[in-house]
Amino acid sequence: MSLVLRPVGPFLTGAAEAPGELNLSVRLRERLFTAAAMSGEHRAALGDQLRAAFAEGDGEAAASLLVAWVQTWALASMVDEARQRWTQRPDGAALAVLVAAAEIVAQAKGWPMGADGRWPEPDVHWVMSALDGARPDAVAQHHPEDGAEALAALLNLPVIQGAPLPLPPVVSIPGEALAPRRAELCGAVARGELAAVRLTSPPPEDLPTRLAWGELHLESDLQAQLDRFGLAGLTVNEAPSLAELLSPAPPGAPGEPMRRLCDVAILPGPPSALRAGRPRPTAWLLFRGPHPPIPTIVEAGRLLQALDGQRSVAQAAQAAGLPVQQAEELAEALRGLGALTA
Amino acid sequence: MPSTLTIIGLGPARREHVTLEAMEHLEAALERGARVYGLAHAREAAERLVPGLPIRSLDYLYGMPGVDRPKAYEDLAKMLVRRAFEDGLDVVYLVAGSPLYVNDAVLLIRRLCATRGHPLRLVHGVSFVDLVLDRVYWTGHRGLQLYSAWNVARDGVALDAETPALLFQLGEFTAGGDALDDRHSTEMLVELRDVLLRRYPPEHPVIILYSSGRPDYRSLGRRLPLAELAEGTVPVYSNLWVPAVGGPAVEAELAPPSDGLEDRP
Repeated sequence: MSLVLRPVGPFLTGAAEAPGELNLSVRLRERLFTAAAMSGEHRAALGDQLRAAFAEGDGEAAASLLVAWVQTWALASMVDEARQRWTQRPDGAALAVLVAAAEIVAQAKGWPMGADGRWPEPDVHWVMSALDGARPDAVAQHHPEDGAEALAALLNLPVIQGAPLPLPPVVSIPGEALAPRRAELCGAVARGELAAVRLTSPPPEDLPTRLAWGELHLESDLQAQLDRFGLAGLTVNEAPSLAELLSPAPPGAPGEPMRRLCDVAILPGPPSALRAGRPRPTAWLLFRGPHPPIPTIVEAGRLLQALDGQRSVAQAAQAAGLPVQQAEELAEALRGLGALTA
Repeated sequence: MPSTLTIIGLGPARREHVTLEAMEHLEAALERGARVYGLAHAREAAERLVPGLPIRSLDYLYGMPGVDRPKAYEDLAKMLVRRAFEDGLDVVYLVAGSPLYVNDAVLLIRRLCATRGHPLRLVHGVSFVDLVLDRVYWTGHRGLQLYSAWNVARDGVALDAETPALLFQLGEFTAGGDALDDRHSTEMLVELRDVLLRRYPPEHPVIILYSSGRPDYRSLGRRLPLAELAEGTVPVYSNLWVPAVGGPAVEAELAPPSDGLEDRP
């Protein structure tokens, strides 16, 4: 019996590998889209890259890496549940988390995005390790943009046609073709003959293209999801943004001694200052839950590091080299942010 | 294929001002699954009138960089005509107020349909003019001038001081017309006041006519000398009544509310 390999894209829902099939999408999700990987190898890899960017004075790269690195805390708390939900059925919220996680994975691993533009294309070493010693005979192509050809070239395997994916009809065109084909494409979408349009290159900035793009989103109920999530987006009707899935941490309890409820990192930043070439030391409150990371002043970071659940605020102030009154005010503010509790 | 295009006027804001014909068309649109389009105010009104009616929002045209209102209306008109008569769909376009008052998109749709021989169904609605005139006494003896405040303040339209004038969209302050609040309306009011002072004396009475907004949409009015026109802000959809110089005295009066309630400041 022959063994076929299924590429990562387009990352549709489903867990099981069919008999005679190795599904890289499933294996990628199970191995790299996990809380353990997010808070372990991905965070560590991003941290190494971040330190290198700082050392090289590359503010642009440092800003991008810093944004990714601080996101690993919230994503680590969400990715397991998202993966499990996505495995069972199409789910907009789960997809929003997985797309954000995919960017982290690609950045941490240094992998490019695949043909679909939303999911990382693993390198040959990872693919070989994911095969667990199996030797596939071919790569099955289930969609023109599932990355089968690139994977086959990587492994020197032939491409065979797999069953088409059960996706609504989409047409792929270069960005510059959008305006000239506006009436045809938008009409087809409005008549229900086409679900959305995928652009294979950035659209021109001109007015006819902007108007065509606007009309396309007016008529298509799935265009926005395709833009955000690639082909997988065609399986969900709507999806929140990652920011909408994050909420502020609940305030801690008053009293003493206080202990930290989050991790703290003091790094050059914030990202906008890194890009501008004027970084300043910034403390980050990094929550192990679905809460956004919070940049704050260094004094707050030092105080947090000193509050270990044993010391009073006054003792921590001394350890952090802060006036007691300032430390008390900071502690109260940090408790309100959910970073401290009695 | 249906290939129909229907424009429905929904009246100024209140449910009671929606015509029976408009309601019937809205309910029928829901029933037969028509493709319904609308801009902000009309969409909100229709969603309240017929819950569950899917309406495609055309608001993106307002926020698109480099697209002024004339361009937006031109694109909208061509798009809806194309959708109905080239794509063969059952298209409904919802507009606030009356489709026939100061609505460039409707005008363009009517012209496009006429020149191309397409049938167009237009369902009338109550105009904002009906509501704002209830706080003044317009005799009609000297006619009426109807202009946007922008036309008078910035386009060089000269009013005939011996004919009363109703100037609408008093709070509009940008060429794109994307003002949704009153914060910068004094810029327009200052320009309008200075233009009017060339033809009217400073003590000439003028009346600002506006709506109380949700939920009652009462017609409100404020009478003041022309010289004081720019001393406060006004919402974008306010109107200015300018009585004629030497016209009937009653036309310079602020009429009481027509809803039987007392005016509140």
